[in-house]
Amino acid sequence: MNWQLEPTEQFERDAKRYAKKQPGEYLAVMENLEKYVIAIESSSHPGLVQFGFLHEEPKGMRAIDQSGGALASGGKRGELNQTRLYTYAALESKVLHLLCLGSKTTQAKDIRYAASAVDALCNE
Amino acid sequence: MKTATIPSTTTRPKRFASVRDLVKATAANDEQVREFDRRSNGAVIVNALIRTRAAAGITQADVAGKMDRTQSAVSKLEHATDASLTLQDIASYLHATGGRLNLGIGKQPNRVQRIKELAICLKGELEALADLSSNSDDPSIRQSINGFFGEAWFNLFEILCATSSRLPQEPEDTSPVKLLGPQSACVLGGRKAAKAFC
Repeated sequence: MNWQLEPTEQFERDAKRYAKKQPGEYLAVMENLEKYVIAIESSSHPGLVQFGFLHEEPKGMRAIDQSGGALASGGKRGELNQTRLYTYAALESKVLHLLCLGSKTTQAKDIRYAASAVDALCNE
Repeated sequence: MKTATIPSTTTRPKRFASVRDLVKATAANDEQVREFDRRSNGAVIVNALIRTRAAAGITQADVAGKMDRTQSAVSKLEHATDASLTLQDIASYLHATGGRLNLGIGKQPNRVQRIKELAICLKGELEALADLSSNSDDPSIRQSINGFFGEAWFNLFEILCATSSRLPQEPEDTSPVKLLGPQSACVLGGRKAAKAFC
């Protein structure tokens, strides 16, 4: 069985806002998310997956940033703002929870929100 | 403002089978989805390489060490497009991750030639496995290899039965062996053939 993606309502709002206002960052993060999903589907444990764009966060969360990559045309991505997509991989159900998406300036608030969402998931 | 909303247990949360589906649901417009597709389709080989590293459970630094490159070079390679990869990049990355690269150059073989090639490969692999069993002191290894041979024999026989049942029936069939189907074993056209088969 392949991994499924389960966004929170907050994530959906964030993603739609990014897609509209910061399309470069949105596509870069989605591209990295795809690489992460490809890797966890082939790995025996998501915790073993390592990328430069992946950051360890509290409560077993991992944040995906916008870094790296080239355009399909072969050119480089332009300068992008720091962006973090907070994820939590539920091993048993093979669901990758997409908690929220934010910038460097909202990082502290995003982590607090994401951590409380993980608590809620674990208590379900 | 972000408030810690507990995921609802009454309504089933939305789930997506792929990042593409998620992009389709959240993108600002169709052009954004097409751009995502362009990037994704331009990294099919790169993503296949990443799969081999993830399956091996090794880091970019491990791969870099084996490729005699820096970790940052491996990271760049994993973010590159297929068009920018060289054959050497692919071969050395796969060598480092224990992945496999199959590259065939030459005239396209016909089906019969291809089946013969595969049969030769199969023979070689089975011989190696049989040698492993006979040289092993571990009874569990011998047992599982012997079990595998039984399974392989059955599966190959079933494939031959299933595929030969699609052949047209000839009025005067001179073939020494007829395969009728998995349930009926085989009808052998003579004692010599039976001896050779068993």
